[in-house]
Amino acid sequence: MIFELIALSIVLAYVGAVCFALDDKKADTLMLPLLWSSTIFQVIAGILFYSSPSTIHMKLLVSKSLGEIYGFIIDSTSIFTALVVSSAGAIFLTYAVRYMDDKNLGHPHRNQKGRFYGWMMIFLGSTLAFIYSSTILQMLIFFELMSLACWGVVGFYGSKKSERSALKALLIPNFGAVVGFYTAVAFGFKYGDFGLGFLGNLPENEKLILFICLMIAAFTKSAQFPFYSWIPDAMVAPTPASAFLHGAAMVEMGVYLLIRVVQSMNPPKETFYPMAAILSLTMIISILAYPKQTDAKRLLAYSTIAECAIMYIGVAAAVLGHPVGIKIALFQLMNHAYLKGLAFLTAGAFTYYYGTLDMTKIRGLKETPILGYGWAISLLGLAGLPPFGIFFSKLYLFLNAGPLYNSPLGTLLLALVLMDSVVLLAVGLRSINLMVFSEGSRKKVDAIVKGALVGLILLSLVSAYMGYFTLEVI
Amino acid sequence: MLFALLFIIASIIGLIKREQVKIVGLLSALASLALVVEALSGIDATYSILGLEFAFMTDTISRYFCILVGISGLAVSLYTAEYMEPRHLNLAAYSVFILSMALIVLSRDFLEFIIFWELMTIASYVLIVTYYDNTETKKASIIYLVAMHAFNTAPLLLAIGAIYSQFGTLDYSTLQGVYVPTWVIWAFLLGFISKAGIFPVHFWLPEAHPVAPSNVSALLSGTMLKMAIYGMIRVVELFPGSEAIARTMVVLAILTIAIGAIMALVQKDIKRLMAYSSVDNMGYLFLALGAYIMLDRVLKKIAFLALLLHAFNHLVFKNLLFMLSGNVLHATGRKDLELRGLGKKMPFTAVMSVVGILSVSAVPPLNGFISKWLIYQATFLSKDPLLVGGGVISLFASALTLAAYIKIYRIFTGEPNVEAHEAAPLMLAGEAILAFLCVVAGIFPGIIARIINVDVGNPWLISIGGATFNALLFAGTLCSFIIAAAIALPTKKNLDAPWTTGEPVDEFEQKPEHMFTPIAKFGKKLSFIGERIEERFSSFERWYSSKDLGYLDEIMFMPVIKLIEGTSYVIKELSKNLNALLAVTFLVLFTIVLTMAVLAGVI
Repeated sequence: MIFELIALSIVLAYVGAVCFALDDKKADTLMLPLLWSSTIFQVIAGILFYSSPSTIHMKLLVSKSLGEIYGFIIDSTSIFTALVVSSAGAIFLTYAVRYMDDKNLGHPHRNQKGRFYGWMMIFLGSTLAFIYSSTILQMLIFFELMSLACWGVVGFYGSKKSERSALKALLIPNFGAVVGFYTAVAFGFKYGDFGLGFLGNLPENEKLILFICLMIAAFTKSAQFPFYSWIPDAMVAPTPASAFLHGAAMVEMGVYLLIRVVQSMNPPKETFYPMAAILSLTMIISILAYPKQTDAKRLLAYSTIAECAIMYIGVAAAVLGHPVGIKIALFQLMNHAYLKGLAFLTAGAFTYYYGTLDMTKIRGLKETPILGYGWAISLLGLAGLPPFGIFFSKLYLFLNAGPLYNSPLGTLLLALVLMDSVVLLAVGLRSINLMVFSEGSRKKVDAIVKGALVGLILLSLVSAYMGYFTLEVI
Repeated sequence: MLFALLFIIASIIGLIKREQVKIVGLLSALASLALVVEALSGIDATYSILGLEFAFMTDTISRYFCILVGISGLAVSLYTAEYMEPRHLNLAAYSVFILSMALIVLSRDFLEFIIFWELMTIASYVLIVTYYDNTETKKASIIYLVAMHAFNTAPLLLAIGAIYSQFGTLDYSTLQGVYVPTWVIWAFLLGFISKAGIFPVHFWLPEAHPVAPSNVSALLSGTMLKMAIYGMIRVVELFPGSEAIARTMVVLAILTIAIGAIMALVQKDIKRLMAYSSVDNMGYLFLALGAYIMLDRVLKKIAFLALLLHAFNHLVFKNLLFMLSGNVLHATGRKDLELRGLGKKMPFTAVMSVVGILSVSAVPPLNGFISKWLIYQATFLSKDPLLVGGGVISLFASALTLAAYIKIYRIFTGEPNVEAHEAAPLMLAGEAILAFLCVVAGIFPGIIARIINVDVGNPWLISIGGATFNALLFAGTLCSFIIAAAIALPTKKNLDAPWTTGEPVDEFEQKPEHMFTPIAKFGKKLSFIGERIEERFSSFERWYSSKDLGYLDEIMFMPVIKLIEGTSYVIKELSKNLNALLAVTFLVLFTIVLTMAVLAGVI
């Protein structure tokens, strides 16, 4: 039953690709039911799974010479991530119904909804299929499909800047995929098995090589050092796409990939050092970049990079052998998705109602309470203040970073996490003072936008609790 | 835990109905009263809410601090019911603020501690930005929250994380007496001195406390700073090895006392003066705590009693003083020291100000005297030169405090220069409770000592002498009283009228900034240092904003891409001329064959 629901939700997401051929109104009427039924099936599958948790491994395509080629793994990791992706996607795409119309001050759209929904539904379907993948080949296929959808939305507006950014957003993760996945598939051919399980059966030196290659793949996807510049440039995408791809789903799929690899492979402990070094450099880049940003979405892009680095710290702890490292990463994934989504959707409301994303030009958000609270809550929540989710996931990280306290590189990582949240808090407070606590005019915010923002605020308040239950953290 | 329920109801009402100040204030007062009553009889409750387990219990220290939070909550909430202006979320944040402080004290493990600690910080931020239209408030709020996050949250998170990683538990009873790494205790010290406003992390206090509404300033100065002391006492009681930090704590405390007292003297704003005076008093508390760690036997008990008694006293009189400044602000719209003659229209405020000022200046028979006297006892009678030096400086600082508060008292004397009216009855009621406690705790300090179960005999007997008579202390205290009396009592009036050729005579009045000039010069130098640091910081920020960071990865791969682009351009141009293309192709093929032949070893 669970498998059928999940398969149905993925298929429904892909059916949404029909929207390419439809005009605005028809696209809305087709996309919304498909989207919400996909999400509801996913949620029902999740509830069924958690009521009696047991791993299901469905092998759909098995060949004699190459072993399993296509299959689904339904375990707590994949259900958890899929629930986050589905719920976030549902809210963001519903928001897009309002955002992608012609009353958008910054980007008035005419008849472009079909194209947008097409790319986003392809992306949703690919992400869900990636999450449930059980073989390396399948992961490669859907990884690249996700990159394709990213190219589609980043280049959506067709300007020269968009095209350049879209090309960067396609080629850099593609380079990572080539380095990581093609190597993995090559190993798969050598050993005659594509399933994730074969990763654990490799000899130690091959594990080292393969882990480094797959780590490069994950890091390019999540825009870690040194391949980070595609994300700030990718902010030319329409904001619901930025929220979904760069806030809640695509960059986090890099983390998911590495989680699956660590779970199947048990990589050698030496891989901690390159990983930790790259993560430290990533956080330093974010810290240096925060105070210079004047564009709201670019600030959020750098914050995404840093928060993904925090998720990877959990994976690094798992590499060192800590049993709850994966849980740290997943807990942070859930809490981050909703808060980052709130931040991006509020930034989208800036484009929609103010026509600009320039933080030095927007004033008087206190006159429109939903925007004032949304922006303040998202910035304070991202810096790690309670009662919002990221405080609890950072607390969980610090409580469970056991082996990291004993190594100097690990302590450096933890100190950088704290420094990053302090600098983000300072920049966020400066922005709140400038934008929220100033004089301006009141904007009438539409019901869909308001509903999306309120929903995300509520979700960010309960996400820590939901994560606690589904992961049994603490 | 009835009080928690009442606070939660108050905050929900504050969230839904943003204008109901009176209801929220009165409910919070009721809840604080419930807290005091329940704490006196002891609290031991475990709750399982939605699968999460919370345990709250009182032991000697936490019971005492619960009562402290309850008393200040009661008085300030009565005051708030008439005073506070509801804005954005501050009404809900008010109840959450007091509740989180109570729960910090009642927590039984570090996890609950850090969660409620952070809730307290964010609630205090929401309350501080009540008057967000003001530029100073915006600046102060950033300084406050970033300083707290950097110097308070960060060290506490690291310390608590390290403890959990090493011992697998955060429960106080399990951690009693375990040996933690020394850096953890240093991290705790840094975290708690930042929250308490000890030098060098004191800079946020004089910014944040004046810009908040007066009831919030009262809670911030009076109660929130005591949470830092509670945390430090808890850490010192749990983990052996606090001797490592004791001397540093005492040195920092002494510096804080000196800086706080001197800077208080040069302020022109009532609330900023009182904020610096809070810095000064927190220095006293940490001096007492350091003495407690360093001394033993009788003096250790005296230091402990001094610490807890001074925590109570400072809470009571600082809350009172800030609320009274709120009276003045509410009535006149001003909080500077140029005001005059308010005593005529605001008699109750003037009388309670006298009580508050005498308490903070440690004049008997009010409560400030006995706790400071015990601190002097503990420091002077110890054989440690650092502590004795600390005692001398704290004596001097007491005199400076009296001088500073004389400046405040002057606003009630003389002829009125503004319109004023007495404060509302509920506001006066809250203040009256605290003024009454000042007098009672001054005359019967034994009541407080009995709550803590510290047995030092009769505190008064120790002070009078017997075996513990100390000539230096006696002489010093006598001198400071004489100086205080000389400053406070009015000088002989010059009754001769000045001779003018019939022109009107202005009554000469010394301006506040010209009082106590020899000391005030030091204060000006100190504030100059502070300004220079701020200047350096903003020039660094300006320099940094002007620098343009490129994309690091583009620096890496753009040259390669440009090379490929260039090559393809050259080939494209070549292809326009067929002869040139054929020639280049032939050359390239020949080069490839030649290279392969060389590599294959043929040539």
